[in-house]
Amino acid sequence: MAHNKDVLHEVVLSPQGVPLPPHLREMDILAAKSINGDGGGTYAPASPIVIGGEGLHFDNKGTIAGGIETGSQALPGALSLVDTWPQHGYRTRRVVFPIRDALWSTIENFSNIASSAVGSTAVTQHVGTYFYHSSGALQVERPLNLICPLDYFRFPTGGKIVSITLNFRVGFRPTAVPTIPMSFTLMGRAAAVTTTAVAVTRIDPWAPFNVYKEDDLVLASNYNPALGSALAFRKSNAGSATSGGTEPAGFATAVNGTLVTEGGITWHCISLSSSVNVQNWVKTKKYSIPATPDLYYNSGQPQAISTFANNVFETVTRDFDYVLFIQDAMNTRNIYHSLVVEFETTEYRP
Amino acid sequence: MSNFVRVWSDDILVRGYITGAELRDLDENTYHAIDGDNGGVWNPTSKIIVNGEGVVFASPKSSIDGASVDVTATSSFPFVFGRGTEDDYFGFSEDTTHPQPKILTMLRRALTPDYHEITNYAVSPSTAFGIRPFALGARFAHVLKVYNGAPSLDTVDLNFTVHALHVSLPSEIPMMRIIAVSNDGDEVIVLRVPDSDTDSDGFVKIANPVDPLSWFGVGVQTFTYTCNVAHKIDVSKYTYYAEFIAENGNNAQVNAVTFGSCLCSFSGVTIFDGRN
Repeated sequence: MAHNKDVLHEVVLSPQGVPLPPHLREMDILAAKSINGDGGGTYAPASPIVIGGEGLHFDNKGTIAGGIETGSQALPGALSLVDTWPQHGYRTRRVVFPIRDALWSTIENFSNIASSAVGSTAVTQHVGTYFYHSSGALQVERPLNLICPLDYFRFPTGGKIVSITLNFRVGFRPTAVPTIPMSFTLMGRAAAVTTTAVAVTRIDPWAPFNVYKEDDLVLASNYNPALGSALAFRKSNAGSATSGGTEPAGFATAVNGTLVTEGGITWHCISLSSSVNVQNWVKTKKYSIPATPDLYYNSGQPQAISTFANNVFETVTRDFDYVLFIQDAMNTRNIYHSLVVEFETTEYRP
Repeated sequence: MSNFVRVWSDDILVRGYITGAELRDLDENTYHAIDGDNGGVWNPTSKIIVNGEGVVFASPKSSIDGASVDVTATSSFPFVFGRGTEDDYFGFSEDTTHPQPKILTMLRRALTPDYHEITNYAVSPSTAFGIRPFALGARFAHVLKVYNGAPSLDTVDLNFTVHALHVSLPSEIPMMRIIAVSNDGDEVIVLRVPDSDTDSDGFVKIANPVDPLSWFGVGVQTFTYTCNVAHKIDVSKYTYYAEFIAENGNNAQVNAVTFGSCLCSFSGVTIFDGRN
């Protein structure tokens, strides 16, 4: 059925036509069935209400409680979002990023790839990546910075990073627990098209008379991406302490791994890469080394450590590429399996 | 036009009578009104604009046929998908005839127990590029792109090229399998039920050539690995790999095969949540 019946059509065409009570009664019934555009209300039509012609226009937010389907092949209707993104309820989503590659210092002459079996031909477990010297020999404990690229398109644009969890295992039982803790963080990197157009936004410069707590990061004043001398320092000792009045002199000459003492603060140089702008997305996590080699080794079984976002959650943007920064001690052949990233999102963006 | 024009003013009762023309107008208005009980088809000459409290479509039968519906951001009311479930991204019907979703993964950087046994290889854009094993029986795994939430990964088409003419067929043709690996690397799910074509680990030979010429010189070859284990794609827990074993045994050669790409086909995908 389409239109309501034209009840009086024939009656009023006649000059002598008189509407009878049944006509008025029928008009009343049909008017009662009509949709009330002013008062609104609930209707349950026996067949779909189909609107063609110029269609409908909804100025205000409506609700589709029962779901809606776009057309068929015969009637290929579509729902098009114009200058907006589809949104969904507030969610925390998790994505597993496999760790399968890394950039590292060429001076170290390390090979970076990878293991799906760690020497075994039975590739059924332990899929992950470990880093070893090209000689194959275990190395004397020393810090090595690894930058692991993460799949760019798997980061949801507009999402906010909440936390990251690193899944790894210690691949070799050392005779003593290491003194250099493994640490990691997630960073966003933007290509430095010009060295002045971009600013380091997440790692603040060292500041005088500032209270720093463990794992806080600062940049040295000689930070200069163009010169490739990007130096960041992490407060590596426990507790909080206040900086002095001038930047520690040791910052100017530090290299990767150098410890610089400033009053109650021990700064650990974690030289970042050059010619890039670096955003520190989550608080750097330092692995708390267990008391014994056995506890540290954990029989080679999986271990996981998590860290959380900085106070101000960062929104994922395509302006940055995302990397996992790991500092590895190189003496226990750790196997890194994956990084689990939790995002808060309210919309879908490609 | 918005509301109908009222036929009678409030003083009509004072006048004491109703004309036929007035009743005709009333009837005409009723004729044009949308029947909320019986439904029907209307073709308005201008848009019906609904403001105020808006509209609720409570019926699961609501549809958009024949033309597009645009949702604009200018109203500050973007399209919000339902709340209350994990899978509340936008999607399409399970019985849609939409083409089977596919994702191509170019093979470029694999995990392997020995880095020296494989290499990334590119001759030129017009020739085969991908991963070449440089050791007999080299074993390597490559991460696959997937559709999160897909009820199943149905098939994976491996595209590969054999570059070297063999004197005789290698006794062990390259093999592949598809696995889901948990985020801690401990759980490995082989996505194929063992059958007569698989070995005990789920590996399947990527070809069954009858002679050296049918192994070499036929250009790009495609092998379809069928996944038949019930497994919903979940990128919050698993990473998906294609794992390979290079040719081995008698008459096998190194640097003879380029593993180029994997095309994953899914079915039953009803949501797109942006995670893959």
